Amino acid sequence: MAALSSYSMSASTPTFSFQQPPQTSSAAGGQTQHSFYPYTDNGGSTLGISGDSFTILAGDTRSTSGYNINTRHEPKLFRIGGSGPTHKNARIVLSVVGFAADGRALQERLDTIVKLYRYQHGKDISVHACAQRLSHILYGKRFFPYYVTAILGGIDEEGKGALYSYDPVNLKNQYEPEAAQGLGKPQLVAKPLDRKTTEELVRDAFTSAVERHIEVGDGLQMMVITKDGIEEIISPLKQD
Amino acid sequence: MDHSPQAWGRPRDDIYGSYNPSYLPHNKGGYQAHANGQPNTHTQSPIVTGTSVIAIKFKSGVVIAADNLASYGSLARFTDVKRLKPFNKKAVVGFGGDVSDMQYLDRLLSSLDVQENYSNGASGDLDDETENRAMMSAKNLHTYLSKVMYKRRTDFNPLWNALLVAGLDEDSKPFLAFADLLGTTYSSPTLATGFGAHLAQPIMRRAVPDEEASQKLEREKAVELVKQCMKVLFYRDARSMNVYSMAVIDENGVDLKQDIKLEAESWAFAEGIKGYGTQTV
Amino acid sequence: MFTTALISSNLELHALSTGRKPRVVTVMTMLKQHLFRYQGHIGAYLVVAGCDPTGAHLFTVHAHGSTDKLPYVTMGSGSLAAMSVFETQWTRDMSREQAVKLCAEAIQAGIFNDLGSGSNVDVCVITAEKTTLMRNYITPNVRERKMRDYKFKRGTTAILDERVVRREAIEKYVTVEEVAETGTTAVGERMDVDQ
Repeated sequence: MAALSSYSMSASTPTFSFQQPPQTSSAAGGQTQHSFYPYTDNGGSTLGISGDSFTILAGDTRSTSGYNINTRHEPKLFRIGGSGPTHKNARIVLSVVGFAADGRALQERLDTIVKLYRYQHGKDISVHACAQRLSHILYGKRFFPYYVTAILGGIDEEGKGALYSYDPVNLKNQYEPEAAQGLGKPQLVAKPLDRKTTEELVRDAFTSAVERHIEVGDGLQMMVITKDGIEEIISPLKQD
Repeated sequence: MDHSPQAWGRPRDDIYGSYNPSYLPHNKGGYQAHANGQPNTHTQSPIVTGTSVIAIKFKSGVVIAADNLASYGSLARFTDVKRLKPFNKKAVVGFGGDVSDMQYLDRLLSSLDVQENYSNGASGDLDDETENRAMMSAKNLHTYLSKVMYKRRTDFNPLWNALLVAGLDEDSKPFLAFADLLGTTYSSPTLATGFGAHLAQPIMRRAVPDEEASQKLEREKAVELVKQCMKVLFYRDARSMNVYSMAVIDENGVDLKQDIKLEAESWAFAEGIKGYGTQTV
Repeated sequence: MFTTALISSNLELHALSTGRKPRVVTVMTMLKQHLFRYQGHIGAYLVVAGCDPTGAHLFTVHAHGSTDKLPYVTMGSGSLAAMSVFETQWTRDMSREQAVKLCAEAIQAGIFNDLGSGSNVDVCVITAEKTTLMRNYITPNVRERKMRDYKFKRGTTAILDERVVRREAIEKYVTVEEVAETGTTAVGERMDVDQ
C-alpha cells in the first residue's frame, strides 16, 4: 500500500486501457475490396434418366483444373440419406457438377437434413420433399451460390422413377414420364425405356461425350435406383 | 484507489499512457487500417511462397516430398524452410503456397494434436493398440483441414495453400489426398501440387497409373520415383531448389529426412550448346 | 499455317538464287525476323528441325521472334508433360529407333496428362537423305464401339411434297459445272514428303 500511495494520483478519476468498448468493423465503416475469386470449375458431365420402376444417374469420374487432370477417380454421384457414413438403405442419389468443393458441401448439408428427417419423423423422406428441400437450400444461398448444377434422382411414392434438375440457385424441372412434347405423331409417343436399354444408352452417351469434350473421361459412374436399393456400376472410359 | 474489478490488472493510463489498440485484431478493437481510410484486408495474394509438393502411395504406405525453398516473388528468400509437417505417427502434411499461412496451419495442427491427446486420456506410454485406435488418422486430418480451408474461402479470407495429406487411414491403409485454398479436395495414387502437377505427375502416373499399381509398388521404387521427380522439378521449375525433405509413412510410423541433397544432377549437355541461333563458337 | 507456307516458298526462292541447298539456320532466321517484325501479333510458335550440309539442327521459335537451340525441345500445352519424359530419359547420341520411341513416349505423356493434347501420335524423322512422316504412328485412343445402333430407319423423315428441279431450270441462277473426279481437284498446300 505504501508503494502504491507513492504514485501521484491525478485529480480526475484515473482511466485504464481497454476500458473503451472494442470498435467493430461496421462502426469504422468497413469497406472491403476483393481480388480473391472463390470459385473454380472442376469439369465433367452428369445425366439422369428415369424409367417406369427405376432411375439411373450417371457421371464421369474425372476431376480437372484448367488443362490438368487432378485425379482420374473423384465421384460426382452421392447417396443421400440412409444410415451411417455408408448410407445403408439409401434410395436417393444426388449428382453435382461444377465447383466440386461446393458440391461436396451441398451433398453433406442435404445428407444431414435427410438423416435428421428420418430421426425426427421415423420414416424416410420422399424424393419430392427432398427435391423441394434441395431447392430451398440452393435458393437460400442466392447471393453466394453453390456453383453447381445438380440432379436429384430416386423412386417416388408410387414406385416410379423420379428426377429433378437444378441450376445453381433453383429447381429447374421435374421429369414427368407421361408428358411428351413436340409432334403428336402416334409413333412418337414417349414411353419409358427398359433398364438394359437405358444403361446402354447412358454408356453410349458418355463414350460420345468423351470424344468431343476434353473434360469428360477416365471413368463412368452409374447409379441405378430401384425399390430394392441403389446399384453402383463403375466402368472405364478413355483416359486421353 | 479504484477497487472496481474492471480495473484489476490493467495498466493505468496516467502512469503508462493509454494503450494503442490499433494493432489488435479487428474484432478486438484494432482500427489502424480504417484510421488511414484504408479498407481492412485479408490475404489477397501469397507473399512468401513454397512451390510443389509431390507424393506417391505404395504397397504399405506413402512417400511425400517438398523442397526447402521459400520464395519472395522471384527471389529465393529462405533456403531452409521445412514444408513437410508430421502430425502424428500416422500422418504428414505437405504445404505449398503461402508460408505464413502454412505456419498458421502448423500452429493450428499443434493445438489440435494437444487437444486430441488430452481428450483421449492418453498418458504417453500406452500400449500400441489403445493408442492406435485413439489416434487421428490421415483421413481424419484431411477432412479437418479441408473444412478449415473451405470455411476460410467462404469467409473470403482464404489460407493461400495447396496441401497434400499423406499417411494411413483408420484401417492403416495408405492414404493420400489434396486440399487447397478453395476447399477443393481429391485423392489419387499419385498427387502433386503447383508445378509438380505439370512436371512430376506425368512421370509418376506412368509408373503408377491406378490404385492397383500402387498396391503392388515397393517402397524403394516409390522413393526412387519421388527422387527422380524432385530432380526434374529442380531442372525445370525456377522457384525450386536442390535441397528437399522427404517423408515415408507406413505402419512403422513416420520416417522424415530433411536436407536431402539432389543426387547425380546432369548438366553435361550444356557443354554442347552454343548460343541460341546461328552462333557456332 | 500461312507463316510456314510463306517461309517455305521464300526458302525455295533463296535456294534457287544461291544455287545451294537451304540450311536450317536460314529457315530459323527467316522465321524469327518475320515474327519479330510483327511483334507477336502473328501467334506462331514453332519447332524447327532439319538436316542440311552442316548437320542436324533443332530450334524453337516463339511468336515474338525469340529462338532457342537445345538438344531436345517441346512446345504447346503438353510441353511440360513431354519435357518431363525428356528430362528423365534423354541420353546423348541415341539411335534412330530410340529417339523415335522417346518422342512417342513424350507425346503420349501429353495425350494422357494434358487435356489440350489430342489422341494420336505422329512422328517425323528427318535425315540428310529424306524425310519420313509417320502419320498416326501410335493410336492409343481408338473410338469405342457403341452398344446400340442409332441409325434412323429408311423413311423416317416424312415426305410431305415432292418436286423435281431440272438443271435447265436453275442454270439461270447458278453456274453448274461437271467435275471430273471427286478428290482430285484443288490441291492445296501439300507437304513434300514420301508417305
